[in-house]
Amino acid sequence: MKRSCVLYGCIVLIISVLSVGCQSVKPYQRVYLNDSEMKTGKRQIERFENSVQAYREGATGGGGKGSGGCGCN
Amino acid sequence: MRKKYLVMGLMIAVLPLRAQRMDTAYQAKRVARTEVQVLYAHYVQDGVHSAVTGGTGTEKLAVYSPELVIRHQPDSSHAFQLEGGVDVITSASTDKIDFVVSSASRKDGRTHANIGYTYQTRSHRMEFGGNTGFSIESDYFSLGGGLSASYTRPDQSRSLSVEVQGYSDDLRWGRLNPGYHRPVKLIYPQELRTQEWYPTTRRHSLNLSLSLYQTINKRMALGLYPGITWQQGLLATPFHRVYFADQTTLKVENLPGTRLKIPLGVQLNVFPGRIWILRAGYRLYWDDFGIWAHTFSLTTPIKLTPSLTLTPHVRVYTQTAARYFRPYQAHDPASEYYTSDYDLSAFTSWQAGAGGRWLLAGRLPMLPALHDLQWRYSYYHRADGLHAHMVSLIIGYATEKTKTRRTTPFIQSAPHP
Repeated sequence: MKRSCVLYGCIVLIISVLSVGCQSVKPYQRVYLNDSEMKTGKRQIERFENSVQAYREGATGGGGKGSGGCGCN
Repeated sequence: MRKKYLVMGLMIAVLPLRAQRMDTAYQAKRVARTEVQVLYAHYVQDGVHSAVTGGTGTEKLAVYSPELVIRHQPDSSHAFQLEGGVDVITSASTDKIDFVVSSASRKDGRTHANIGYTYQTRSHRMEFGGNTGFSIESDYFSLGGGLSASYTRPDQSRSLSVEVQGYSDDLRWGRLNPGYHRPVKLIYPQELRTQEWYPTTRRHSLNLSLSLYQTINKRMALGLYPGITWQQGLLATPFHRVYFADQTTLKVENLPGTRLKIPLGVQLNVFPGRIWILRAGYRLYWDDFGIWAHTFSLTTPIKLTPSLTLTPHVRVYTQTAARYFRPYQAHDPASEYYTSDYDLSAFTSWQAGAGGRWLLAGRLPMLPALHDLQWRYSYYHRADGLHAHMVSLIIGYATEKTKTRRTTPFIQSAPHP
């Protein structure tokens, strides 16, 4: 119950930051945001490592793990 | 007099000029782009808590994993993707399923393929996609498919995407084995093959994942990744042994038939200076097996030149144990569910390494299609002693073809009197 409260607290905090703290960015100001290293999400080069983490750690799922592999070793 | 010369000079200057000619046709350009990525990953691990031998014994393992990804965009709206690869696995622990040293179970292979299609509307605000694929091993066959949709605001300050992915897995052995080539039976440890331990051989999974991207200012962006996963069916691994506290009972692993997982990830990307970037991530995870997990990750790409980037990274992970986990010979024989798989134990792990990207984009005259080279090395260490080395390489090729179409615009004729 305590941990659920922490989870919901995080979500509320993030939504608050999103709704209040964001500045408008003009297209000509996006030079840093458009850099390939600034893209959010997982990268192709990390794909195999993500798969290994999904097997070797209990917290699998929701991270885009592909099909297959019993991860049984 | 001066004015006269000035006027004459202006007139001479104007003579070569002509009225702008009215274009009767325009050129519609369509750029078709094809990207090919050749991936190779090499993985070696060792440890002393193999679940095949009940939470004790070697976990020595090596995986060689080549893969090919082809992405073709005939125009700016449509994109097709084809992925395929093979994992060659050499495992000391699966060799202990039976008692034949270096038996066939020591080596295994996984073949997987996936095709996908995405459609982007003309305004580039909406994108829809679908994919399907399969994965096959000697004791595993998985069919999967998914649908996705995303929306991006016109000023690109926010985008939201949703993806649903489903898998249907069959854990029976025999599809790749000479003399069978069909699913036959579950593989249990050799001394436990006297009975069928599970009521089903199948597992079904459904993932729903959301993704929210938000720019905070011109140097900062945030990603938010909530999700939910539902699994049902055979969630235990049939050849995992469990030794009980009475020192006489031996069974195969048994876990509940359903599992609910809820992850929530947050990523903050910052470009504070001119050459370095900060990517910080946190992920919270909960499931109804009793696991709570926290992941902290930090990646700091450094742009040494416009085309060369070095990327050191570090990751720390911690989880609580599943309520069904006990170590070797610690389970109560009266328990309903039990496992000695240390992947479900309480532990902390850390991972560190470095990678890089060299953007070539046609700079090598001998190989004009060579687009980029990427590499990454990581060392992984788990508190129970398991450790691993991971190396990944990508060679990227890209070609573009511009197709020009000359079109005569529609001219409206004058109305008849």
